[in-house]
Amino acid sequence: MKRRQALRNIVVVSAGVVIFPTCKPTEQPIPIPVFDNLSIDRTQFNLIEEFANILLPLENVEVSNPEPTNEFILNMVNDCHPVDDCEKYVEGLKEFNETIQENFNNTFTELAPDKKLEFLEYLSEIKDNKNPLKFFFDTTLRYTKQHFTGSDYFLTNHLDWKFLPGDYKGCEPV
Amino acid sequence: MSDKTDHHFDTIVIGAGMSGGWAAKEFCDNGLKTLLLERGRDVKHLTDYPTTNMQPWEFKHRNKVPYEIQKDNPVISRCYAYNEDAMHFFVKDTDHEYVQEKPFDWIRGYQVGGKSIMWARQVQRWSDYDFEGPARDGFAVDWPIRYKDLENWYTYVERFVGVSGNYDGLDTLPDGEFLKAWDLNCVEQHFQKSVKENYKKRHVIYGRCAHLTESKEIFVKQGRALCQARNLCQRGCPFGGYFNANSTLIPWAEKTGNLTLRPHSIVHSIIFDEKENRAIGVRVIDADTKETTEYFAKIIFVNAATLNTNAILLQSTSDRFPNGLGNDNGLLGKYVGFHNYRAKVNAEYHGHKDIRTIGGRATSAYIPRFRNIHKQETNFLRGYAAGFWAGRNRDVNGKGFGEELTKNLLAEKGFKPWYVGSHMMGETIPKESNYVELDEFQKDDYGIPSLKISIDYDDNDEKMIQDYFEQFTAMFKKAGFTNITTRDTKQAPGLDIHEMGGVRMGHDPKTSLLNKWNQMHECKNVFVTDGACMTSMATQNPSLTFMALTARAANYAMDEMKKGEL
Repeated sequence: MKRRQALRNIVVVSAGVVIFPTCKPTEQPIPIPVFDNLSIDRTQFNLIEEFANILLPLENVEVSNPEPTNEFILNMVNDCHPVDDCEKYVEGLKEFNETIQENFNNTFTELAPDKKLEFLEYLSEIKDNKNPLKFFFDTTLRYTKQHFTGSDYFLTNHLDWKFLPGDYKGCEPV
Repeated sequence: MSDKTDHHFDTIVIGAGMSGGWAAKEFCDNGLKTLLLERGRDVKHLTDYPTTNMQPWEFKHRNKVPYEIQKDNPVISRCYAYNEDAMHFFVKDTDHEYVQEKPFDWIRGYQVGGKSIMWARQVQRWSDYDFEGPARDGFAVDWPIRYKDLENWYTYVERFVGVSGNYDGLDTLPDGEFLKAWDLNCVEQHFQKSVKENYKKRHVIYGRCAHLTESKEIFVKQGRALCQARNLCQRGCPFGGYFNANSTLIPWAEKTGNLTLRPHSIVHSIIFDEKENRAIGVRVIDADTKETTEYFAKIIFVNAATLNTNAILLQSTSDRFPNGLGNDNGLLGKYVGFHNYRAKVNAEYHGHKDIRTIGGRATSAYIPRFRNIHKQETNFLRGYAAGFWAGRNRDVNGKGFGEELTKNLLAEKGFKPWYVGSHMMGETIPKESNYVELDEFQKDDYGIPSLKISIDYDDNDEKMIQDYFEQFTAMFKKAGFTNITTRDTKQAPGLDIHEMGGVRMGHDPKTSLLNKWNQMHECKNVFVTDGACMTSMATQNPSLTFMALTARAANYAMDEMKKGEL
């Protein structure tokens, strides 16, 4: 009931927001990476990147990682989790889409920014650990953070990390 | 079968790890044509360290081992160093299976360099309190050597490998030939001071480690540079900043022109000639082609790493030795010991708030054994050493999501309180009931019986853990540490990677396999100088002692050859 109410509120507030699809010339799409244990199409792949950017917006930060965030997240889920988790993640991703579609007749991309965050608030409050939607949210958030906090930018500028320290000083002032 | 003359050497060394590398180096330096056999692949210094210069973010899984590999290889996955950056240097469970009569985590490195590539690099000398232990406390047999027999060889080895340390003046942990030490940090010094004030016989010292902190001519000759304190040693070091066989011993031996290194060579057995009443060679299976070849030499050194050395000798049967080479007394494979690494104590320290550390350091503090040194004083035999460390992390706030998360992560960061930790390194008592033998049914891909391992803790180990918890909790409290927690990992033996024994040294052929020169009592031209030779286990990380014993035994063997005795 709580979930339905939360979603109803979002639907009411977001009514009237209309996004017109843009038209682009036809381009040959770059193939998305293959993940053996994850059945993911291009739309879903792109959605995860968009979702990660909402979870951790980094517009003004220069982060250079070898792969985009969505690819890292899916690498980690695909390779470092059991198959059950992979299935649960994809199920959660589908539910994520379906929940928005059912309740807003819309896609995540088309939701207004404040509504996206409201929806994320709702996701973050799911307590049932068996819920695939919660697993999708928690896992995407976890690896989004790891992708950033393990980057050259973060390690160097925020964690005093050096590849070649050369020395050790054990009693330096803070 | 190849022509015998093609395969003739002065010496054969089985195993190209740390101790085998030392044997090869000594022989080659002295002009002996030496065949160095290694069951695994070759690993060349610099060129075969594929991850050594990779940045953390360049690892696809950010140093995590993929799930399927962990699932299929539970034993090796429990090893602290088995991560994405170094997993290619470890033997997977599925690569060479063994039989666990009791749980045993066998950590192996099948390659030129062996485990010396990934080792923890802690190097402490034994003292006479260790060599006299079995005789004084009535377990095992008496060591046939004492500290004075090994002292100069410790020095000899330390000068070549490079050891960073302080001169501590402790009778329990004799000083060596040291390069300068890095700092103990302020909290480690605080603990050092607290322990000194509260305990007369306990010492917190800098952990001596095989790293180059000063340049010397010998290291320049080896092509090694100073340690850059990266703490990425398990990947292999592009500077040669820590000692491994690949950067030091093997290229050194190769330069003499006397070394023949043969990787992918699985030793099936040592060949014993009944007429000559000596070992004459080694039977080898090529790991790729499975072709069997024989090599011949006057002297054979067995350095395949403790348990595989036991396996080779057990597999080396003949009419003269139906139960394994030199095994007249039936003790081969028995009295195996290890180090008890199950216990850890962790805490926080809220002092020294205005201090931090900068840079990296390849070692920690070390607390030499203080229990039962001069006399028996506890309800358990022997004692434990311990590692000790303190550090301080940036306080990263990863809470929330959206703009809040971004703000939290990018905020200026202070420091968390100091974390402090310790782990126990307990001496275990070698017992006849802790043994390895060849399995009756299971064979490996080469038709060689698998090793069956039956090794366990005993009541002495359990009592020691409790004492460590009590003593270190008290020591931590006295130092003002808070939030003290104790943890018994319940890990199986083997994960300490310090298994020793099975081919023990001793005075008497009836109760031991090797004499005081690591020479088989019953087969004088075969020497065992890796961990298999150890009569008792002490508490020190054992590699330095293996290297010193090897250098000593190799030089003895060469002297005997010159005299015509071998």
